[in-house]
Amino acid sequence: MSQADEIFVVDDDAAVREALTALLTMEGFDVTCFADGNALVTAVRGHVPACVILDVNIPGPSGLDVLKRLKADACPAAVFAMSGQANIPMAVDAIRNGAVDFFEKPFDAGRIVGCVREAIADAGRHPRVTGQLASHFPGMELLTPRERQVLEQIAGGSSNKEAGRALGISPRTVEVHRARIMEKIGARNAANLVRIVLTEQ
Amino acid sequence: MSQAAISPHPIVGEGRIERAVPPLPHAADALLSDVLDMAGEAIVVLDVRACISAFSRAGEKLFGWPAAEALGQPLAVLLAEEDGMDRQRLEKLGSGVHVVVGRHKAGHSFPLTLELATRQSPAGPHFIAVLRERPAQPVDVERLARLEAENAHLARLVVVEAMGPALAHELSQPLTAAALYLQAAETMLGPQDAAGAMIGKARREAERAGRIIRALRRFVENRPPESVPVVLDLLVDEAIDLALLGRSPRPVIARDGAETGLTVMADPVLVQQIVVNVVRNALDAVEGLTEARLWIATRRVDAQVHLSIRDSGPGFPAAVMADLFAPLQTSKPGGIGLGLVLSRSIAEQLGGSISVEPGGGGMGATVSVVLPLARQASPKAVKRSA
Repeated sequence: MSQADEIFVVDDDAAVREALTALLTMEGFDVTCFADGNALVTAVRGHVPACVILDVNIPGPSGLDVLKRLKADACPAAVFAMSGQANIPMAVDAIRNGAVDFFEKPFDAGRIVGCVREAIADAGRHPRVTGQLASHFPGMELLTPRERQVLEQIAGGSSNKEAGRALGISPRTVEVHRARIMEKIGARNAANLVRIVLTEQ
Repeated sequence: MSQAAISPHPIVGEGRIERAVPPLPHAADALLSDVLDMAGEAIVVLDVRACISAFSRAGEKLFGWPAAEALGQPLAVLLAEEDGMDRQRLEKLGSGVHVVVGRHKAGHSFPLTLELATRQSPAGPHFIAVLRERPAQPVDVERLARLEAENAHLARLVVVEAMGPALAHELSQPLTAAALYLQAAETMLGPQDAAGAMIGKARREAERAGRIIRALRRFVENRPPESVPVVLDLLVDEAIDLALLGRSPRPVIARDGAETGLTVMADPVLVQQIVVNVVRNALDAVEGLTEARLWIATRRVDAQVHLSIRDSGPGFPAAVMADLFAPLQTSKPGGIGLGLVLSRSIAEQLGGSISVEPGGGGMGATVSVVLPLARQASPKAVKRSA
């Protein structure tokens, strides 16, 4: 490739911005940093990078709002969300709104470069995440009817508590179902699970 | 004042008068006031803001406040400062009998029992407080000291609990940055470089600290731990290495069952924390002994895995056993007393348990950690996780 792939980084912590820039520049990327979401959205309207690495807890519009705006603009960049105060519904929300993956800070630095490269290489080749369960996903036939109900709740962005209330079971039981579902589908984590089941193969 | 006073406007909600609730009719007012005055005890009726809306005659006597002046004041004026009794505190206390310190209008304080009754209303809980002077008790110095110690304990526990998530969050940004910088330096130097290899190790340690923080955050937020298939013996071997770091001389460690490859469903970081904790305790127990030995074994019992760690130390004295799983109790100089508490709590979250055989009389202690065995995963899942 003649021209370096561009990456936009959004984080309100200067040390994280600088460190990501140092690492990604070393890996041959062209990195631009933003301290808040508005600056990013404006920049992306000017021209689209190959990848965006976006902290969810930023001042101004949250990372999730930014994701929604990028999605509304049909931005083709591969977006990674990250957070230091992550929880499962947040991760699920990010994936539903088009993030490729979700990193809980502090994440493994060794992993991020590989993930970014893979996402850039895959961009445009993989069908996008839809709003509902795919008609088929790996491990689907192994799920019990109850597990499928729980999965629908999780993929819909419900917390364990909300899912439990909707299905008339305890949040703890939801959690047990979730662990079994992840085991059957072979998902690494909740974000990965939602991505698998919402992606039309 | 000859009659108990009752505030004419029961105040509902924050700083506004709810017109929808009419004031009590006069007859009812007078009756309530008579009833209050007949009681031999100080009775205080509080509105939703925990301010006094009725005050009995015995109350006037006990506290030196004329009822007319007491009305509308917060309950806190009747109590010594350290008992700053606002609405939140009252809600926390809830119904029941509590020991507090009263304050007379003249300034002196005295011991009181506060009997609290709660009544729910659409605007929130209302309280009725019955206050009785406590007879002076002979000072039990030992009991006081114990109470004080318990109090200090509780305070520390609250601090630890409050600090956990904040600390985890504050540390996550610099740790993320540190790991990224180290990764960059590692890449810059390349795999052949000796310094690069060392920086790689530093990066992996920073990432391990990150994983511990993520697990800690899940733990303090009471989020269920991650549940993935974990080969227990690999984890145990790693944990032994970690626990041995910086120890010399090292005791003889007999390891049993390491080939069995038993798999548990658990959060690997949490399980490792448990094993490190327990192994460290065992190492402490044998430190300085000529016969310093540890026996660490894993075996399968039905649908569970038993990990036992026995040491050649003196065993746990009975006094220590009693408080073994109480938070912030420690028999070690410099110990915080959270190791076993956290370990047990983690084990229980994972659906397991921890038990201790105290040993003694020439026998060392044995700590057993029980964890549920992973169910036979579907062939598909096995292939994926391999």
